[in-house]
Amino acid sequence: MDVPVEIEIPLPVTVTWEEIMLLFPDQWVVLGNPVMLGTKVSQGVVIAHHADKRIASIEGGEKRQGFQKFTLVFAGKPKPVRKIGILRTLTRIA
Amino acid sequence: MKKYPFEWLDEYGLMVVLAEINEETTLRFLLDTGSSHTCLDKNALYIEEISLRDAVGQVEIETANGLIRADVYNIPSIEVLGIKLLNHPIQVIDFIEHGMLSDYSGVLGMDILGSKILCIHFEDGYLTFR
Repeated sequence: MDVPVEIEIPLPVTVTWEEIMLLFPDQWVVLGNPVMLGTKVSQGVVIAHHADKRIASIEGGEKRQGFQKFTLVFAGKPKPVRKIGILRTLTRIA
Repeated sequence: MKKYPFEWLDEYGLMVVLAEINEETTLRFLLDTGSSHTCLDKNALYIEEISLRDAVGQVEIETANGLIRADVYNIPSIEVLGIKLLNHPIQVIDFIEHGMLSDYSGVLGMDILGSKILCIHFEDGYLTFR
């Protein structure tokens, strides 16, 4: 019988955004020395990751030594944003 | 003139830009001309190890979901759209606690946007700020 092989990802390692999405789906990820492409992350070193933004951020703060720059990203489709009604036209008056 | 890219958040057409806190941490900010003040998610501040006891005040702010309280911190440095503000007072709230679960960590409001001329080039996906 085949025994499932657990692959441990050595950290820190530089990963691309595509790899982050695959490795840490629906998690908040703190990256060290990120490379940004426009407003998006192209790659970075994973410092911490967790489904809870607060925990990821706290762990990232604790393990920040050795890095100069950081970013915090969500590796997944964000939850729906609450619509802000202030500027929405709800009914148009003729 | 420098062009700053922005990202459309799907579905709702909200615009996201990048801001750098303390010359270290790059965070995604929602560009919001309907917000009087810039605010930050408390949960993202833990990366910066800013002591959450260092608040210089507390304010009550009106949101679409009612009144909430926010702590005010003098953030040592915030750089966004080519301008750098030192010890700028920023309102800090817990986004998760208030049901804001999207993937941005701040809201860029009129206290910063109102200081210059903002041009949004929707078709080309960039803005200028001078």
